[in-house]
Amino acid sequence: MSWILPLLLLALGAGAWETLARLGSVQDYLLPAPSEVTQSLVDDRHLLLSDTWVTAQEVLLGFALALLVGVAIAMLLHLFPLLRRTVYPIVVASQAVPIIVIAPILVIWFGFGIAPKLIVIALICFFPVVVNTLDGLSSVDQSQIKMMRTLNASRGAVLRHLELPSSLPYLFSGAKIAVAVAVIGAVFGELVGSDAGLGHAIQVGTAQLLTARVFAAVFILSVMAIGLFALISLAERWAVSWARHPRYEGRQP
Amino acid sequence: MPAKGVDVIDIEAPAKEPLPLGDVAGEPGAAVALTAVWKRFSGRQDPITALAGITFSARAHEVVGIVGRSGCGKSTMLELIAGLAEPTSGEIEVGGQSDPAGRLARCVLMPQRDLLFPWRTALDNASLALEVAGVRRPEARRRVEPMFERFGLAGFARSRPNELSGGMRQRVAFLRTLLAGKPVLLLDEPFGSLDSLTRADMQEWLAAALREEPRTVVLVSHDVEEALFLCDRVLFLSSRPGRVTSELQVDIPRPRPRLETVTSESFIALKQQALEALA
Repeated sequence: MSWILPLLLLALGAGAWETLARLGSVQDYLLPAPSEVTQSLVDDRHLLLSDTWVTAQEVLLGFALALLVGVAIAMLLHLFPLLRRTVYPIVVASQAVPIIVIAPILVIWFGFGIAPKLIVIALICFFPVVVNTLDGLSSVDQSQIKMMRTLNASRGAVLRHLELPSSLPYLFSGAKIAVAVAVIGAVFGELVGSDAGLGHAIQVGTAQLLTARVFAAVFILSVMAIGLFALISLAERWAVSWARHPRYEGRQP
Repeated sequence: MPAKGVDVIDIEAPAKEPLPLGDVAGEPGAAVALTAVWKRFSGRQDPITALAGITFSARAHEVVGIVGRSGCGKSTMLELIAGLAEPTSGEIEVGGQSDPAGRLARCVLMPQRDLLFPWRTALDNASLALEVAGVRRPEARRRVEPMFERFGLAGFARSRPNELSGGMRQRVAFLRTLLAGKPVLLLDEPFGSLDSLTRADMQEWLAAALREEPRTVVLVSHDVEEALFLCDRVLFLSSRPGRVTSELQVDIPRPRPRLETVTSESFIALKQQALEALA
């Protein structure tokens, strides 16, 4: 029932907005009422649907890429301390470079296809995955590692049987943050250069003052983010059910 | 109910054939010998001397207890014996091997906390050592499951650690330890986290399990009665820096039924000697 309260708040907000837009003298192209946005969702459904499909593909593939690369980097940095000292600061620095600067360059390099969007999404998303997974890998109980070593476990066996499973809750935290910003990444990528996708729809809509359609696209993006977040949460509940138990003692000092 | 697991390994019964635990790596009984072992940790200010010239040995299949107050370096000593760390000076031999890798190959450490993995079932926790050794999971399960009954865990193979009682968790941990197939068991206050009644049950259970599966055991404890009840010989360690202050031979024949043993005059006399040694 956790969705009732946020839904109620949204409904309340929409009601206030609707009243404001109808009563006030605000122009439609400045602030369309929720009813107009809904109308646009219905009227422009064919256009929006095909744009949604394009963006969804980008988000899913980009997120998957980020997850893959993020976990791989975290594992490498964890296994090789020298690499960690050398590369980790650069990974952090990569987040300081404004994506808005990189995106056009990526378009020059990779064209208007899906590739530059995937790279933009992956660039935004891999960071929370790396940071969280690395934290998870390094916070494994030292006595568990010692216990594994006296069971003759190799470095790989410790990673596989102990460190990776015990850092799964961290990985999921990172993935939840990543999937929420993945949608922003897709829009960024599309704004810079594309002929389809919700970001493209927003760009065209803004230029033509079709504000209701812009809001409709934003609405779809939000739903997409919530849906993906819920999907990851579901996977988390399934994969790390053990971590939610009150008697779970893996994190004791 | 299998929860009353102490009955499963019957301490009065003559020793049965050994558990099908597979081959114990190397020699069946490896002796442990420490000669003038020092361990210093370089702290931020003063270096801390944890162990100051420890010398003792354990024969093959002997159960040796180390008793001392908290912080006397008992756990450090076990880690040194296991080859997880090197002493600052002195020599440690396990089964004639003094290099850390050789020691690690012969010792298995069972810490105070059971350290069961919450994402694994009881069965998969117990068979961890086999999986680490490269046995596939279905095969490991098939081999380990029959032992669950012997360990008083029948019906709990598929349970998660958080669904087991403290004593059962400890038994799973002990099974995992035994399945490593090492000749030397290093037990670091193995029942320290249990309530006193469960602990008494588990001590009896461990004594019986060791009769079936003889190993060289170094048992660290701060419980005098536990050490006397389980061990052939008990050493007393002074507070930091730890050094051996005295030694007590426990000449009580096995099996040792708990009630008769701990209330016997000889046991009480030993306990008195032990408490004096610690005072």
